[in-house]
Amino acid sequence: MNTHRTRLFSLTLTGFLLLSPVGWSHHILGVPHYAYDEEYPQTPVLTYSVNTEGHMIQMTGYPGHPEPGERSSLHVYALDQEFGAPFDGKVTMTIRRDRAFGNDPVIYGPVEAEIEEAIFKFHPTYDKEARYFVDITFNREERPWTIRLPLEVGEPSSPWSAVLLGIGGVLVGLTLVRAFVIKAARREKIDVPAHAEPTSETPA
Amino acid sequence: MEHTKKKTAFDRRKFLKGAAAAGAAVLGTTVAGRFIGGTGEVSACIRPPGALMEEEFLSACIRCGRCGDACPNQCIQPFTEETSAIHAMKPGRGQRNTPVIFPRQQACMLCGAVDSEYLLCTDACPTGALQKTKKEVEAIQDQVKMGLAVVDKQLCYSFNGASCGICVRACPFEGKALRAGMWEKPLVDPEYCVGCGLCERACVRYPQAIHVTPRGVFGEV
Amino acid sequence: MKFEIHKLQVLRRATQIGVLLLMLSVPAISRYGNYVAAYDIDGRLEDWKGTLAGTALTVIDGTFRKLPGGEVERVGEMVRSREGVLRYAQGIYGGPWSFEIAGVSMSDPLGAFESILARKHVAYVVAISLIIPIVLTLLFGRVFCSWICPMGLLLELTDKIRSILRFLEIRPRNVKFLRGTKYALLAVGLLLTTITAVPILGYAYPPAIINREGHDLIFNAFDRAETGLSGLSIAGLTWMSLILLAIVVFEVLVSRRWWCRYVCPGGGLYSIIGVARPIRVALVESKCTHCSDCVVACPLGLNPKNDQMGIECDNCGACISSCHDDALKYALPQWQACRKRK
Repeated sequence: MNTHRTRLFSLTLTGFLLLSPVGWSHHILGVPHYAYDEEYPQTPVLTYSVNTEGHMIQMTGYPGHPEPGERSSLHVYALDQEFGAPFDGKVTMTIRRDRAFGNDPVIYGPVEAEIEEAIFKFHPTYDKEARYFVDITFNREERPWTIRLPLEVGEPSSPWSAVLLGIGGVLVGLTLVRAFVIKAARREKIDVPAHAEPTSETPA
Repeated sequence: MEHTKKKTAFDRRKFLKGAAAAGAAVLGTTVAGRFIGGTGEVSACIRPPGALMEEEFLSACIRCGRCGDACPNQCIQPFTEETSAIHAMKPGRGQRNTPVIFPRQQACMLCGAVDSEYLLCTDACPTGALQKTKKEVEAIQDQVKMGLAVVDKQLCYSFNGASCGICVRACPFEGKALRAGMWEKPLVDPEYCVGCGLCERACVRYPQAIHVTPRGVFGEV
Repeated sequence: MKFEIHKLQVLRRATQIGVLLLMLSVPAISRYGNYVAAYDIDGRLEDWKGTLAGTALTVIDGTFRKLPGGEVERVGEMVRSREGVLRYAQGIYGGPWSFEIAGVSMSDPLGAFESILARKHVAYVVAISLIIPIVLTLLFGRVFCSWICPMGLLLELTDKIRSILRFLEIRPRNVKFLRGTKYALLAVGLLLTTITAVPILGYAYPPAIINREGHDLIFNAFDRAETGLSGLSIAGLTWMSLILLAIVVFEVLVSRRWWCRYVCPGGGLYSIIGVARPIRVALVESKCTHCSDCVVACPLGLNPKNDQMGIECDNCGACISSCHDDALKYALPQWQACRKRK
């Protein structure tokens, strides 16, 4: 009977602790898993801030310099500036690879997220080093709206650098050929007996 | 006589050519100077400690980068498109290459980790754009005003049923500039907050729940 | 005499290259100080062994530890003195635009004047930083251009490229412009600086651009190292480097030493400050054979043969070492006067 009472008491206590937010609170300080990296506090360096449709929208990315094949996080936060409350509809994210020519393939989404502790969390994985753009749609009943943000993964090479490199290579090649031709021509000139040439020396 | 005549003719042609070139160079460089310095609205940004007010700062600063070299925490960066794009900012008119701090990336430690008489960046500045500031609590409180920390109550854990307090512990003037209220809610005192941004750097929330608002925004100092 | 003058040219080139290397090492030293201050230097030296950033840190660490106070004895072992190396790391800032070493501050007069005019206030620190450059310029004239300016070094390279082009039988043009351009530019620039209250000449002034771009490039190399990449990247530079590239291309194809001869506002300012320099190149007329080698050699397109150097000579000595007859030498005017009397 005594054990039954003790069990009931501890169950109730556990229930209270689980239900109350304050019970969770002390896990935040000093527990590294709340940070993204062991080298806590590691802040993301990728930040976007946009003001549209009466909302202040922020997106942070971690890691700040994402690598292909690595799971990354994009957190979207939209604050209604009129009411000071976070946007609480559904948010859809689509990520496309930005190709210089042709269509832009979708590599993530469309993924719909519900609000979670005032923000919307997405975890895309990028397939290769390239430029991407992120389309975020805020689904509001009257009128949904979309914002587009650029994103760079790894160190994408610009098509211009290839073109410039090509032009540079051709120029260097032409220069070398020309140098070779001129040198050959001069050698031929030297081979001709030199006695006919006038002396350039002048008496001092 | 003919020799001099020829010479003047040559001089006139040379002069006209030169004058045209000079005019083009003067026009080109003034246009380029205006353009290179940045275009558009002057953006509110966080300047290193001891900075003059924005307008006078932009006049005095010669964009040499000595403050950035001096910073022991490497938090001072040149304000260029390259450095500011990831923080959703852009240098405005005359702002390019001026020193700026992005606290989310690296915040000002007020030279806490090194032995020095002055805040090192203010000591390194060759123009007085950053006013020499002694590394003492009174001097810093008196002369440094980079911005003001603002808490977003929607995002902050401590305002939403979980106590955190990491920003309060990061504050160099803990208990004065940033006090822990009930459930370690961060309470900012504008009187003491110098806007160093260590709270923003420490915040574990993404996006950060505490931000340093540049001083120009709230029109103080 | 000949040999010594030749040595002077070697010394000048060594100084130019040394200034460039020093300028590039300043940001690396700054990062080194950052890692020392963050108690992270040993980890960086270990992790980045063999990479560019790691090698730079190792060289800096080795140098600073050898300097007095760089090491302390702890438990019978010599270890890095944190305060000692930090003192050295925090003793050197900036580059050719504005430089500080061991507390001695020097600024390009163009930058200092712009700051003063834009702010309409002479700050004490600006005045201090002007002393050394102004005194040197008063004595030697435009020596910044020939001994220190990294753009001068880069543009001396264009002379080499032009000679290669001539070898390839591609005649690079040599259009003459008006020398007064630089003074016009200086006047207009300073006037606009005063009116708009923003120092604008510094944005397009090559030593300042090289100062900033050099810092960006090296800091970017360390940022890359911190995110696991290695080497230098062109992404560290901003598009302002294109201004330098444009000047180089223009000088190679259109006009020899166009920037220094005709356009550079800083060179104009140094010329004006050094107008009464006592040390100048002088001609010994009796020895001159009028071969014009010195006229060809002069990078600034002046005429040493007629002893008409004007205010723009930067005392580089190229004419002196090109002279086969010992007809040119550095001289103080008094000495010249004495010689003439004899």
